[in-house]
Formats: sequence, structure tokens, C-alpha cells
Amino acid sequence: MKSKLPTLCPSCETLLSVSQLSCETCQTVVQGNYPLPVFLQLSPKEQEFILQFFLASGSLKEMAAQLGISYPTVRNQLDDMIQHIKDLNI
Amino acid sequence: MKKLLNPIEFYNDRKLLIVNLIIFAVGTALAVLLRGVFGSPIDLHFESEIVLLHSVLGNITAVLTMMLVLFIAGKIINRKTRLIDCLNLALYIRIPYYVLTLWNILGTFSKMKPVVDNQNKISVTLPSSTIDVLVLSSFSFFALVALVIIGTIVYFGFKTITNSKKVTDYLILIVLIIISIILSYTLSKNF
Repeated sequence: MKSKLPTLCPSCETLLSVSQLSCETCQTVVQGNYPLPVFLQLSPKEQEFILQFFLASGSLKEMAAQLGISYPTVRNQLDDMIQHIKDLNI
Repeated sequence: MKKLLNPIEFYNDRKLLIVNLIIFAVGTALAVLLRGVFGSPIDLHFESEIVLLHSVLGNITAVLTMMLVLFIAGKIINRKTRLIDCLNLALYIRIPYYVLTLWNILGTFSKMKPVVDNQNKISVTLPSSTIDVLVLSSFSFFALVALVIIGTIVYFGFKTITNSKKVTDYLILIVLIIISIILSYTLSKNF
């Protein structure tokens, strides 16, 4: 099962930051305080949307055909995501 | 059910337009045959005789008026609103009206049409049989159901077309619809 990366603190719901990274091969551990990239702050559904949008060369019509929904629905999803990213204060 | 109430959310615009245009042609033919006339985007009444031009023009006017209203309201709310989506919605909401024309299959409404004689006296034929009363009462009921269905389709369709989320967005649409009804009613009375 693919585990979901938590982005919000389960206790106070503040945005989490990266404090530790480790190498699977040599077990090197890097510690610090790094902000979570914008892409990872989005929900898995939104991340999947961006990936599909990229793979469809940015064509909403092609995406709509692939997803089996209409063009306005895909455009609305994109508009909502743009608004969400703007709301993240980036 | 969701697909029936909001086809614009799911179906390809061009395919939907083709289906809508076929339904429009069949519906208009049905209205002509059953003597139904559309005076405004929400009006349906029956004449005592077949009035081809009146029925066809009435339906075209109703569709175009609704399309324009949706497009203007849509552009005010979201500049990305497309005309094809508005046309699809305007055509799709006519379907309940085509179904309602079937109530005149026995000519019940046509024979009750008020007639003005040579002495300017208006005579109205009242429902005389049980069938007439049944037709009238069932029409009233289904006309209300049709209005609710049309309202629901417009709500969901407009939401998809414009991505509207605020109450004010729907208020703009309602105001424009009321203006269009008054305008098209006035136009149909004068021409």
C-alpha cells in the first residue's frame, strides 16, 4: 500500500515541514528544517490532476476525454486548484 | 440520475450539441403537430389550429433568449464561460416542454382555447368530460414537476458552466431570466 504523505500536523493542523531525510542505501541522515514544497502541500487528487495535465501537454480537452468528463468540469477543477494554490500564500 | 440532471458536467460538448439539436428538431415537430406554441422561455400554450411558423419561431426564440441570458450572466461571473455550453443548456432545458406538449394529444387544450366571435364576444369551452378534467389536472401537476426539473437542471448546469459558488452569482442569473421572460413575452405579443 502506498502510504500518504502527511502535510498537516495531526495535533494542531499546522503545515508540517521536512526535518529529516535519509538515504536508503548508505543510511546517511540529513537533518534540518526545510519547508514542504508546494506540490506536496496539495491533496493527492490535486497532485494526480497536475500530473495528468502535464502528461496531456496542458490540453484540457485531451484530459477531459481521458477522464471521461466534460471540458468545463476539467476547467473548473483547474480553476479551483489555481485558487487553492493562491490561497497557500506562495 | 446525476448525468440526466447535469449532462454538461459529463458529456463532450459537441456530441451533446448534436443530440440536443436532434431533440430540438423532434420536439419542435411534436409541438407543431400538437399545436403547442412557446411564447417565452418558460411559456407553453396551445392554439386551436396548427401554426407552423409560430411554433418553430417561438421555440427558436426561447432557446436563443435563454442562451443569451446564460452567456451574459456567465460572462459577468466567469469570463471563461463558453457559448457552446450555454447553447447546450438552453437546448437541454426545453425537453420537459416537449414532453408537456403530449398532453394535447387529444386536443383537450386546443378545444378550450377562448374564441372571439363577430360581435366581439369571448366564448370559452369548459372541460366537459372526466377525461378533460383528468388531462387538465395531470397537466397542472406535471407542469409543476417540469418547472422544478428545469430549475434543477439550470442550477447544476450553470454551476458547471461558470464554476459559480456564490449566492450573488445565481441572483444575477435569476434577474436576467426575469428580464428575458418579460422581453420575449412583450416581443411575441407585438410581432
